[in-house]
Parts: sequence; C-alpha cells; structure tokens
Amino acid sequence: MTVFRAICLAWAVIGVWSERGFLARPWAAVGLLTLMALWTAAVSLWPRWGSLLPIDRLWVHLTELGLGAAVLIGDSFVYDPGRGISLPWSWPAAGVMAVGLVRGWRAGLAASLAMVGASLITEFRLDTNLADPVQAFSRIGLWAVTGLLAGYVSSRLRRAEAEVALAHAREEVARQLHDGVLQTLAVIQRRSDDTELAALARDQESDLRRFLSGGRSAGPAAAAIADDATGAVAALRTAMGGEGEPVGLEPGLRLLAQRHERLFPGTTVSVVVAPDAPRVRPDPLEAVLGAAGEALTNVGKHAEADRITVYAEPADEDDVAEAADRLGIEVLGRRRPTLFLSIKDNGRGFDPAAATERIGLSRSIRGRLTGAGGLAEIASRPGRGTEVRLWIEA
Amino acid sequence: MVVRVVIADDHGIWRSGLRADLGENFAVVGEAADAAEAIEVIRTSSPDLVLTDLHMPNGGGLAVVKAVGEQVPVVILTVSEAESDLLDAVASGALGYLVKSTTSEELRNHLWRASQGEPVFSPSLAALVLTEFRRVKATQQPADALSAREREVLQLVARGHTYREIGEELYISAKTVENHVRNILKKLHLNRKQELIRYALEHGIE
Repeated sequence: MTVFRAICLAWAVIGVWSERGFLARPWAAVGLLTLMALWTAAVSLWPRWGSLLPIDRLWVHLTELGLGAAVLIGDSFVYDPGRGISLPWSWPAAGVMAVGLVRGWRAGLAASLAMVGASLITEFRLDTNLADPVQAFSRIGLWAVTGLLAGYVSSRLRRAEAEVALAHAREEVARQLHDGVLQTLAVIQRRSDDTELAALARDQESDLRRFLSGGRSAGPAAAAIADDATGAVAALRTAMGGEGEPVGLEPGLRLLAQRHERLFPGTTVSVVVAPDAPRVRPDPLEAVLGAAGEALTNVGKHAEADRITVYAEPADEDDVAEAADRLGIEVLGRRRPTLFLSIKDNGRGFDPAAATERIGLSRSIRGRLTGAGGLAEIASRPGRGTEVRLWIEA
Repeated sequence: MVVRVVIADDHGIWRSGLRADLGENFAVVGEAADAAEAIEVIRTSSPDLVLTDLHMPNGGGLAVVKAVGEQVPVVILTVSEAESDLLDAVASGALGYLVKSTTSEELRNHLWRASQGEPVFSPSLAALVLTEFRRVKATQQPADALSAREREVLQLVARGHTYREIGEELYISAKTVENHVRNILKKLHLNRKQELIRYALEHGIE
C-alpha cells in the first residue's frame, strides 16, 4: 500500500505540473499535494512506529478517508468551473483499499460510496460531466469495485490462512495420535499372552493404518466382506468413498490384507504402496482389487505361507515390455499400464509346468486384468513361493 | 557368540518387552530413554548392535545414527513407515529399519543378520528408496543413479523376495545381492548429501 500511495502521489504531482498553466488557484493545488505527501510519509512509518502511538487503527483509516475526500472536494477549488478535473484521482483509492483489506468488503464498499459522494460534490461545483450519466456511473462503479475487491481479496486470504493452520493442526494431532496409539498396540501384541487380545490389537492397528492412509473408517464394510470375496470390492468402493474419482490403492489393499489375516490366522500380510504409486479409477480398481483378493485367497488355500507381501508402484516401461513379451501379448500404445502390483508369498510354491490346479486361478486373474486392458503373470517354483504380478492403466 | 545390544526407546515398557524378546543370543548391555543418553551409553559400552526408536526426545533415532552410525550397526525400530525422516535416518547410515509389529522370531532373525553387518531391508524401506531414486531422477541430475541391476534387486526386495530368492532369480550369489544392497545405500547417501548441498546453495546458506 505504501508503494501504491507513493506512485499515486507522483502521478498527481506530474499531472498538476503538466497542467500548471490552467490552474485557477495554484496555491490550493500545492496545498493539497503537500497534504497528500505528508500523509503518505506518515503512514509509511505506521507499520514500524504505529504500535507506539496511543491511536487506534480505526482513526488512521478514518483520517485517510477524510483526507481522500478532502482532496477530491479540494479539486474543485483548484480549477475554474467548466474545466475538466485533472488532479489525479487515484490517491484517495489507497484509503479505500486499505479499509477494504483490513475491515472487509462491507467497510470497503461504504468507503467507496463516501468517495463517490465527495467526487459528486466536485462534479457539481465544477459543473462538468454531470450531463454525462455514463461517465458518472462508470466512475461510481470503479470506486465500488475498488473497495469490494480489496475486501474480497483479504477475506479470501484470511480464510485460506485459517484453513492452512487448521490442516497443520490436524496433521500434528494425527501424528501424535498415530505414534502413541500404534506404539501401545505394538506393545499389546508383543506382551500379551492372551491370543484374542493380541489379535484385537493387530486388527485395530490395521484399521488405524488404513484410516491414516486415507480410507474412511470402515468397520461395517470390513465385517461385511470378511467371508464374501465378491462383495468385497463393492464394499471397498463405498468404504473408500471413491465414486467415479480415482483413489489411492492403499486403503483397499489394507482392507483385503486385514480380511486375509482374519480368515487365515498366523499369516502376516504386509501392504507396501510406493508413495508415488498412481491413483486408480473405479474400473481398474475393481479389476486390481478383485485379482488381488483372489490371489490372496488362493495363497490361503494352497500355499501354506505365513508371510505375504503386497506391493504397488508406478509401472516401469521396460518391465511392461518384457512381461508382454513373455506373455506373448502386444501392448497397444494408447493403453499403457501405469500401475504395477505384485502379491508374493513365502509358501511351498509349485512347478508351473506340472501344476494343473493353478490353471483355474491364472485364467480367472488373467481374465479380470485383460478385461480391463491390463497384464497378469503368475510365477512360482517349488519351495520358493508364488508371485502374482499385475500391470494395468490406472 | 552373543550379540551385545544397546536399546534406545523413550518407553520403559517397550524396552523391557524387547529385552525379553531378544532371547539368549543377545545380551542387552545398555538402555537409554533419549538420543543424548543413548549416544553416551553407546560410547561407554561399545555394543555390537544398536536398536533405536525413531521418535525420541533430544533428536531421536536420527541423532543416534549420525553420532555413532559409522562405528556400530544401527537398526531403527519404528511404528511409522513412509516418512522422510526414516529415509534420512537410513541415508545417514542406519543399517535399515524394522516395524515394531514385527514378530519376535523375525526380529531376532533380522537383528542377528544386522549384527553381521547385513542391511535390514524390509519391502517398505525398499519401496521408499525406489521412490526416492525415481524422484531424484525426475527432478535433477542424480549424483549417482541406480544401475539396471540395482533397481531390479531393490524392486525384488520391495516385492517381498528374500536375498536367496533374488540370487536364484538373477543367477547371482546371495552375497552379491547383499553387495548390491550396500551399494544402493551408498548411492542413497550420496544423493541425499548432494541434495542438501544444492538446497543450501540455492537458499544461500553458508
């Protein structure tokens, strides 16, 4: 604002100087300019010294507005009637803007109207443009917009500031809570001889982690899918609140993991989602979660594994090309997989050449993926576990 | 051989639980409730292995790693994953980290290997490191990019393969896999350092 005032003042000085030949009362012009200069200098010191003075900020604003109005009215004494007004108008706008910024749009508008009144007095005295309503209106409009805009900008800024502060506070609470509660749950799991209590702690930990990773609290949904794999995906969608919008993969995967740990006690499922893994649209999400759920169920039934790792990351172009090559599939340029997901267990594995029981699994998982334009591959060796790998356009 | 361990954690109940869990192959030679105390205890008792929490008063696990990481293997035990300070801790010399919900048997297993100087690279840490390398590669000239083989190894770790499985998959020995992992850690360290220097230069910090 200080800079704005100074520029307006300079402009006014230049304006008056260039019109010096037409001034009816040069002394009045010099007086007004001096007044403006004094005030401009005085308020530029306000931020540094203002707090030392026993003056309320309101008085500063009112004084500035009064001065602005005085300048506008004083204008009519500088020139003779009939002569266009040229002592520039912009300087009083600083006062209006200051009021709008500090006191909101209503005050800004009121200040604008006061200036409009002042300028009307001048117009009337000089008897100039009153005949031209268009110009009069545009002038009124300009003033009103100045005050309103300043008020609006400042209220938006203030709201944004408040929102940022709130978000920070929430983050801090989540962080504190997160550490403390997770710590306690870990202690319970470690120290408790009561297996049910330990299982409860483990469940609560998964719930909390899923919630922190962006999923909504999904107690009922989790219960609903505990024994129904097909209904799982629908429940997941509701639980994640993603209707049409791409969503993060982690909450859904954690829910699947939790369900698996409940169905197959003694198995640990770690869900690892790279921070830069892409968000997923509803259709591929359904395909991927469905396939992952199926792969997990299959591990539980056949693999005799006690550790499963579910891992998601952005798909690597070379990896996709190699996999497509192995599978004998051509990847079309416009449907390029962007997400990679793997489900790996440490179970007994199987010999892909000899195993017939896995054909159904591989057909079903592949069906889900290729239906959505993705790739699926299952790799295993006896004694080395099984890995299901999925690529899809997220 | 018994591994001599120092445990640093600000929760007494956690330390005592951990002590009970470690079993007969480990001997707890010192305990601390904050970073300053931990550094002091480690200097006086010179253990074979340090187990430290990430969030503690007076600097936490990161301060412990920075102070003693070059003399003794440090493993971070934490409840929180996917945090940049975790990555910082590993980049400044921690051998890796374990989540506190790791089962007792796995914990003993990992700690035994860590005491032999083998990096404790969980899938989630591998995922964090991979992401970090992708980020560095996308935004700037990395001081040291991952080789194709290193990326492969790291990705297999993230996917849950053991070093032995990775070795078989890539037709290399488990020892070679371990060396790759160590190199990856070195490169991570270099890149983080370079980034710190660049940040300092850009922001005019002497």
